[in-house]
Amino acid sequence: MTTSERTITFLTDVQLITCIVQSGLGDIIVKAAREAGAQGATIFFARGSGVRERLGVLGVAVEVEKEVVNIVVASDQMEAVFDHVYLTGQLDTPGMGFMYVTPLEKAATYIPKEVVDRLEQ
Amino acid sequence: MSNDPENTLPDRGTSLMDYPRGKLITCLVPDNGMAVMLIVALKERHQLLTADFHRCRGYGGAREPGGTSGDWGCGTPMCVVTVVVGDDRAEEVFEFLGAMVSSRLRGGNAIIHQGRLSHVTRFELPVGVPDEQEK
Repeated sequence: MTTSERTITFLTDVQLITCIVQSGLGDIIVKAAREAGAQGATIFFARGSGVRERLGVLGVAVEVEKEVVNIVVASDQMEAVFDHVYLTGQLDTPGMGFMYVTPLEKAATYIPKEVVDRLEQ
Repeated sequence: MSNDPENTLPDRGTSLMDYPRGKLITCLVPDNGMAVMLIVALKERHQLLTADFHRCRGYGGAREPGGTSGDWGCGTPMCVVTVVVGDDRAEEVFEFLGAMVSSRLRGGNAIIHQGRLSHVTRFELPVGVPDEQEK
């Protein structure tokens, strides 16, 4: 394919799930996202602020180092991925992390030809 | 608020709502120097100073048949380039970045996406600041 023949297929109805967890838990989040149908994810390190104190009588320290996981998903997959990641990451436990969804206007990436053909039919 | 003029922000007659709305364009590319190239290109061709990048590990992504790694193992070194642009220039910049990384998009190891920002502040450099020189 020559440069002039290249076209970009825009994806719409996509959303970005961002999940901020304690350092070392990013891979668990990525695995959960994959299990729920996500096609890809990225992880980067960050420093968190907020709860630094020891929690409760067990003295469980909350890591200051965080991992931020970004997952781009189709809108119709979003709730399934969000729920599975939330439950797997135990984000209902204080200090484990939090997540949010950002609506995207459009996205572009490699889409296998057979998928494009199927969508165009 | 302090009455000490040295500790008071200058009143420029603006509120948060005076700033224009914008878009956040995010571009995920391999960690091979392309991120810096994109940032330099955004500055030189579009006079955009509001771009930066950070490194990350990338997982998954659709791959061409026979492609090497659709692996979800330990991740691939990647860079995330983000640029904030005004509403009026978003289309142009998105297409520019899309064209710059299109070969990577076809390889399946890049993604570019755009989201809406409700408030954006302006960023300008002081007059007379020289460009950074390569060492």
